[in-house]
Amino acid sequence: MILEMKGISKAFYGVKALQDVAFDLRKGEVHALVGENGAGKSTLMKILAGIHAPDEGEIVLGGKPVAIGSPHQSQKLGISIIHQELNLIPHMSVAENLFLGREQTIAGLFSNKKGMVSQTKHLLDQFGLKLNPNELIARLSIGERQIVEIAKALSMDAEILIMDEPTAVLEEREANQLFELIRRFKRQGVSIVYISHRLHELKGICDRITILRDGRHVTTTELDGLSEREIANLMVGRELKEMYPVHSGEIGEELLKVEGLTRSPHFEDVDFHVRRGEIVGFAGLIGAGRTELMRTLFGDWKAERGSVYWKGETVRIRNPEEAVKLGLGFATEDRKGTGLVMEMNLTRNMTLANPAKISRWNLIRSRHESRVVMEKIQEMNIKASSPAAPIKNLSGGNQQKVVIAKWLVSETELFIMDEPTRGIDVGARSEIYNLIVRFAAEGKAVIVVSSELPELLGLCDRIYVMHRGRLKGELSGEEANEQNIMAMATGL
Amino acid sequence: MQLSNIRTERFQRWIAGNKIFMTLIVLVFLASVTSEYFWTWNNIMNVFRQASVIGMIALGVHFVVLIGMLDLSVGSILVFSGAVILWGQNLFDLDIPGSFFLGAASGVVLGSLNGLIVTYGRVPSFITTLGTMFIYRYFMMWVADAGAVSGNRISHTFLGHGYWLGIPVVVFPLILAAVAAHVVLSRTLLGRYLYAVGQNSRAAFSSGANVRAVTIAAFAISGMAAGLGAVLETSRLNSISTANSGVYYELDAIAAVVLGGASLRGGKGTILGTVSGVLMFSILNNYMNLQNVSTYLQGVLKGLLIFLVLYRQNRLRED
Repeated sequence: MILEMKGISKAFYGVKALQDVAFDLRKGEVHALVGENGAGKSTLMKILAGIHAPDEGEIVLGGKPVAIGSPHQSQKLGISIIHQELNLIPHMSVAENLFLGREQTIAGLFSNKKGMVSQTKHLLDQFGLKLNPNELIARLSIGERQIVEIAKALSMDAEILIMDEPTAVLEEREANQLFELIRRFKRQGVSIVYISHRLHELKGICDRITILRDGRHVTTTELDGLSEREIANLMVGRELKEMYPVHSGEIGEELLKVEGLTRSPHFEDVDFHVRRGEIVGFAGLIGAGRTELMRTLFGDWKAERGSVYWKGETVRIRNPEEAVKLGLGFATEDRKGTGLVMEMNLTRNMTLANPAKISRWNLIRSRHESRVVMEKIQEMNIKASSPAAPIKNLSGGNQQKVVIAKWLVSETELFIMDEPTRGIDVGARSEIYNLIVRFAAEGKAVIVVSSELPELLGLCDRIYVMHRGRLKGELSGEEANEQNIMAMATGL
Repeated sequence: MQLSNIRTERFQRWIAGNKIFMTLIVLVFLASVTSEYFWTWNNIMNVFRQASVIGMIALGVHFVVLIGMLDLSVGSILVFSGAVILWGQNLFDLDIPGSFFLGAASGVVLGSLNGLIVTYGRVPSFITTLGTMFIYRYFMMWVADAGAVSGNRISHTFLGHGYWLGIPVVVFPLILAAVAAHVVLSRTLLGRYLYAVGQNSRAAFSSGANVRAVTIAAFAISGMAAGLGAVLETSRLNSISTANSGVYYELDAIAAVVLGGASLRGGKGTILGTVSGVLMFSILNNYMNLQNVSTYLQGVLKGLLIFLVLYRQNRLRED
C-alpha cells in the first residue's frame, strides 16, 4: 500500500464536496476513480495534489502520515497530476513548457536550450510522437497539448500519477498509445489514479475501481467482477435507461450544401449536404480538419474557395454574425475559450447569441429576458442556484447545456456541435442526446463532430469521414460501423 | 421578516460590489472632521466643479477600458474639439446647445477614427491612441500657431461660472452624462456586448456579435465624452490653449477609472465606481488646498492613493 487516504471531508462555502471518503493505492496498480460530475473525484485528487486542504481526514504516504500543503510539496512527494484544464503556456515551445520552473542552465546563467530540447525529444519518442520540441504550444491541437502535459508530469519522476480524463481529448490511436504507456509505467512500479467517464476503456488498463457518488464513497473493488452497466448504475444510483434515444424524424428538403470548400492546409475540396430533420456526423482523427471545416463554414475563418448553398441559394458567410443571421449555430469544442463568457452569469450567456429576441429598440427587456431564460432552464433541466448564477459555478454538463440553450434561444435551424459531450458525465450526456434528437425532430438539422464513435453511431443518420483534410466517404445504415469508420479515418 | 432579510442581503451585496463608493464616503467623512471648511455648500460645489471636465472624460474612457483597451488621445481630442467649438461660435454665432453639438460631433469623428484604426488597421489601442494623441494636438497647434483659440460669445461662460438652484451649471452635464452612461451599460444591447467583448471577445465573436462595431462604438463614445468635456473646459475662460490645455487629462481619466474598480484587462467596472474615482481625486486636491499642501506634493499623494486603494481592492478580492 503506497497511499492511504482515510476519512477525507471537504466543504466549499458550506457545500459538502466530500464526506468521509476513503481511497488507497497499491504500488504499481492502475486504480480507476469514477463518478458523475460533481461526485467529488476532482476534489479528492486536488487534495492529494496539494491544491485544496482537507477539512478532516488523514493521508498516509509510504507508511508515514503527511500533510500536503501545496502543489509544490505534492510534486516533491512524487505525486503528479494531469489536469482536465491544460496548464501550458501557449507562446512557449514544447521543451520550454516541459522544463518550466526547473530550467536547465549553463553556469547558472544561460538557458541550456540544446540539453532541454534533446531530453524533450527523448521523452516524446517514448510516446512514439513526432512532435517538434521547438514547436509553440499554440500551434498544437488540443490532443497534442494533452500529450505534452502528460510528458511533463512523467518527466518529474512521479511515483503516483493522477490522470484526470486523459483520453477525453485524445483520438483512438493516441489513446491506445497512452494505454500502452500506462502499462509500461505500471511495470516500472508507478501507481496511477485514472479518472474517466469512458467506462469501456477502464477494462483494459485498470486493476481496481473506486466509485464516488455525491461526495461519498460507494465502493472500492476489483474491476474484474463488474460490468460497464453495473458501474454506471452504481455511479448514478439508479437504473440507467437506453443511452441513445430513438431518432426517426422525417427527412425534409436540403438545408445546406457545400461544394469544393477549401482552406489549405486544413481541408480541401469538401462536398457535403445536410437536410432538414437529419443528424449528420463527422468522424476523423485529430488533425483531420473537421473543426477547421466547421469554423470556416461558420465564418470564423476565411475559405480559399468553394461554394455554400443555404436553402438552395448561394451565400457567402464572412463572419459568425452573418452565420447566426442565416440560422446557423455553433457549439465549439472549447467551451471556456469560445463557447461561454465565464465571467458573465447564466442569463447573459444564454441570450448572447440572440439579442434581438430580448430587446426592443436596442433596450433590453429584462423581464422578458428572465422569462425566456427560466423557460429554457426548466425545459433543459439545467441545475443552477439561480438564473443570475455565475456560469463558472455550474458543472461541466450544465455549462454545456447553457451553450446549447444559447443557440436554441436564437432560433437556430442548423446546429453545428463540436464534441458536444466532452468531459460530461453519463446523466447529462443522455440528456444532451435527447436534446439533439428532439431538435432534429422539429425539422431542423444537426451536425455532430465527435471523436467518440459510439456517440456518432448511436445518433447520426449519416456519417462523413475525414482523413487529412479530405472527405474520404459517407456511411449510413449497415455500413456505418466502427471498423468501416476507422478504416476510412486512417486512410486505408 | 423574510423580505427585510432579502433586502439586507441585497444591500450587503451592493456594498461589496461598490467598495470604492464606500471608501469615498469614508474619505468625505474624514475630510469633514479634520477641516472645518470642507463640509460647506460652497466647497462641496467646488469639488464637483473641479471634477466636471475630468469626470466627463473619464466616463468616456470607461467604455474603452471596459473592452480591455486604452484611449490616450482624449486630452488631445479635448483641445481639438475645444478649438472647433470656439471657431463655431465665432463663425456661426452658436450658443451653448450649438457648442454641445459641435463638441460631441467632432469628438465622435475623432474617436471613431481611433476605433477604425484599431479594428480595421489591427493596431493595438495603446499605439493607435498614442499616435493620434500627437496628431490631434499638434495639428491644432500647427493651425493655431501653438497659441490660444478664443471665442466671442460671452454667454458661453454662463456654463462655466453660472449657478442654477445654487448648484454650478457645469455640474449638470456631468450628472446627465453619468446617468446616460449607466443606462447604456446596464440596459442596452451595446452595454451587454461591451462587457461580453471585454471579458471574452472570442466567445462574443463566436456567438455572432459584431465585435468591430462594438469596439468602434466604445472609441466613438470616448471621443464624444472628450468633446463634451471640451465644452465644459472652454466655458471657463471662453478660450483654449492648443499647447497647454488638456495635458495629462488622459492619464487622470484612466487613473480615475482604474481607481473606480475597473480592470484594465476589460469586462469589469461600473459607472458609480468611475464617478467615485473622479470625485476622490477631486476631494483629495480640494482637501490638500484647504490644508495648504503644495500642489507638487499633491501629485505624489495622488499616486500613493492609487497604490493604496488598488492594493486594498486586490487583497479583498483574494479573500
